Amino acid sequence: MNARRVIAVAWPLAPLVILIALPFNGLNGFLLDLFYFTFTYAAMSVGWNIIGGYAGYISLANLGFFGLGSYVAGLTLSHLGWPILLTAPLVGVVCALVAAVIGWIALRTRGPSFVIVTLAFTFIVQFLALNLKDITGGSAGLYLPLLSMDPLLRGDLFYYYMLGVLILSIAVAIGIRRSRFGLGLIAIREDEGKAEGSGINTSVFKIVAFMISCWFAGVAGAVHAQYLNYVDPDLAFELIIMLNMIVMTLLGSRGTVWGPVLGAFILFPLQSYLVYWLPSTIAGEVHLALLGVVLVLIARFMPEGLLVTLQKLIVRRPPPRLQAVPADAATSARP
Amino acid sequence: MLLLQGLVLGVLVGGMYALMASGLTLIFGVMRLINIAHAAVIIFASYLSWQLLRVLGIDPLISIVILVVVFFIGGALLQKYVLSALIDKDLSLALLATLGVANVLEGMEGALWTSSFHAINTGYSDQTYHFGDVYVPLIRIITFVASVIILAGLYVLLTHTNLGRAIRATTQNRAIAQLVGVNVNRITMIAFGIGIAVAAAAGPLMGMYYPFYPNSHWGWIGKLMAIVVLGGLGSFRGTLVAALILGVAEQVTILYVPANWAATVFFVFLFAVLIVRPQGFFGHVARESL
Amino acid sequence: MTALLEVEGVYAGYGTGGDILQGVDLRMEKGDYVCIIGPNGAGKSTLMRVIAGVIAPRKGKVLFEGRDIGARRPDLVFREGIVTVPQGRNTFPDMTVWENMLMGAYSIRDRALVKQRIDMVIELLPVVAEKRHVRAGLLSGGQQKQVEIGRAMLVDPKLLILDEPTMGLEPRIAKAVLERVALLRQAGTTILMVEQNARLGLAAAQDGCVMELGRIKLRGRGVKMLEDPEVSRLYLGEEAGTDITRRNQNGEKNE
Repeated sequence: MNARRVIAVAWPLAPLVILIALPFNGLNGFLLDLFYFTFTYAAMSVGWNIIGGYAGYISLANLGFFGLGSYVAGLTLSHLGWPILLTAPLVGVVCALVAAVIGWIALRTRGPSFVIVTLAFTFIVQFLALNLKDITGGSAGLYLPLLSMDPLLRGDLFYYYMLGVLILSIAVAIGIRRSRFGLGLIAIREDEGKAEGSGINTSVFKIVAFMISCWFAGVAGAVHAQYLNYVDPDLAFELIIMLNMIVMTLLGSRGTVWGPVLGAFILFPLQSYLVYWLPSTIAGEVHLALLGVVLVLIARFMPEGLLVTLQKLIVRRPPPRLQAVPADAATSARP
Repeated sequence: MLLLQGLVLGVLVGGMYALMASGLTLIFGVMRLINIAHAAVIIFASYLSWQLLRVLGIDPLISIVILVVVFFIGGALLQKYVLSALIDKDLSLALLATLGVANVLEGMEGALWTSSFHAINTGYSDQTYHFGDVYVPLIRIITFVASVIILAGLYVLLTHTNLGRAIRATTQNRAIAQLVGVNVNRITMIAFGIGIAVAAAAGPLMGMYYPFYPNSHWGWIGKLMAIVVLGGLGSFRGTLVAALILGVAEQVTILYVPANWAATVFFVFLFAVLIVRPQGFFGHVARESL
Repeated sequence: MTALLEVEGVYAGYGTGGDILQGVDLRMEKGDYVCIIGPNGAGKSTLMRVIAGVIAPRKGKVLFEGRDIGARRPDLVFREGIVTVPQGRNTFPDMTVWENMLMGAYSIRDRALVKQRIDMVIELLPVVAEKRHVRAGLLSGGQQKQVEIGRAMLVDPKLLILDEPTMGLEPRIAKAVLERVALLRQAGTTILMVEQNARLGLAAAQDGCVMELGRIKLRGRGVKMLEDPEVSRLYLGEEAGTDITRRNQNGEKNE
């Protein structure tokens, strides 16, 4: 048995064991929350990465699906009494189906329509949440029934729930990365025309990737509604959530399995500390502006992200990428 | 008669929408980039104009001149030192960078001017004229006329100068523009600067017309995207027509439904266009890439 | 005396791909009219792109009037006096024919000179005047090609590069386009042309070059090469690309 190989495959078990064991050592409420948020962001970033990183299509709809998930889960809880922690995966499915429709509109063509439609989608969901007052409670929002359970265990519950979602998201990301589907997505990112030429149904690939991506956003939104016991149009559609998904993915390394996770685990604790440290009158504004600055700086100076940059430093050899075939050579094959 | 009222106000506001969207379409044309920060730039100019009026007593119409110059330089520098490097590498990075810029501006405005809404009030803000049954606030006439003048200037620049032709040539066929001796990098930088300068010109006008607050640019960028998509991304004339259509559609809708629902007009048009005719109705420039 | 254009041992390719050009040597004197023929993928268009500055050579030199222009951007190569009309349609489709002409004269500041040059082009290519207010994208392929050639003439190029000017044109139009090119040559322009239709190209040009596998294999008088049985067998015979030649020749006979 080759020890290196074992480490290469099994290393995630170590942090996993630590993360599972942590709450048993009497993790305080603050840290439980910190981890809950980090897991949530990490799972959503891994999800965003599937469309935004693997396929290379920038989606601004994941925020809309986060909010949609919050509202769908909140409404089914308050009207039908269905417990959110059980319905969350189904709420995710609802979001994925809506994503299929949005994807059908925006992903049939190449071109810029995707980013426009996804942004518009987020606005529309927020708009409906705000203006369908009879259903959503408008700007006052919805107050949800509390979970009937020991408040001491409540923190643990959300911790483990989102840890589970995060593990699932990573498993899905690994599965996609190793599948023909994942190869197809990367081919689309590298050269969509050629991907199409090699027999990939690019529209279907992109739409499915988008659906999976939005499933995670929807689940996270649903769980978060229960976490807050409350849904309102400001909290459910906070732009900083969208920005975070993107910045975390970019910082970690877009298009890799672990990049978004790394990004979330670095950025969320830092941000919590920053917001805690800033004077509360301008904390939100400075937070937003700084995250914007970080996004511009990463895009400009480290677009490949930490993981790939480190990999290059260590291995001194770029990871294999699909090579662009020159136009001339493509036509040079004689009959 | 009510309809006529809506029509008149729609055309007036459509003129301003055209100004707000024309920079977006110009930038898309030369760079194939959706400038997500476009409305944020407009709002930022609104704030600066408000500040200039407040502190130095400079009329917003005068402040346009100052803002255009400053924002042109700022835009050109942003393009040269940040965006152009990203465009060559990966267009989606440039897109994300504009998202970052939008958030920087929004956060900065919040920190400097608080998150409550502002409005630019001048001595002539409250006057209204009646033409028969149609009433028209003076401010809307002023913003319309100013928008038309600026757009006319932009149109002449694009069609009757060497620079303008070079911008259009770069938009239509970048590789060939280079082969007839156009320094496309420089032209792209200038065109982006012009796009941002036009946004800056729209800022004071928008601020006289509507109240604004740091995150109101999100509502605006949605509307502007609907306009440029309807106009056929990258098409200047298409954008003008689309802005008028949507301005009128919005103002007429307002007459019959609650005002907050009128915003949906833009999204209805946006989705209808993308479902029926993804390339837009007027333009035929943008075909490829993000 | 230095030649107008000297390409020395040029290697070039795209992106991370292999070398398409594998040591090209080409020399052109002022007043030459050279036609390059060869099979698909031989690197003909790549060579044109290297000279035009669209891609930089990986190895070797491109000297123009003795100056190394190998690493220059296309717009700077253009300002040296090398004007390229690439393959396919290359007008600015949403600009009028007239505006396309003005873009050709973009680098000229002297208005009177522009006017004079446009008059000269109109004399040679009447279509420019007839369709002056029409958007170029609405013209037929042959008309667009003439607009492109006209646009290229405005700066009085020291070297005119034509990459497959007759591609996609019906034989009669193709011939007409080459006749226009011959007129330019008579007026003293140095011309480097790639022609898929080898017979047509060799008949039109003064010199012919055969390119294969990224190199120029042989060069000779165009007319002589047409008569050379070996060239005929290898490059004008049963090769894939020459089917088109046949069809065109037949087409001509049919008229």
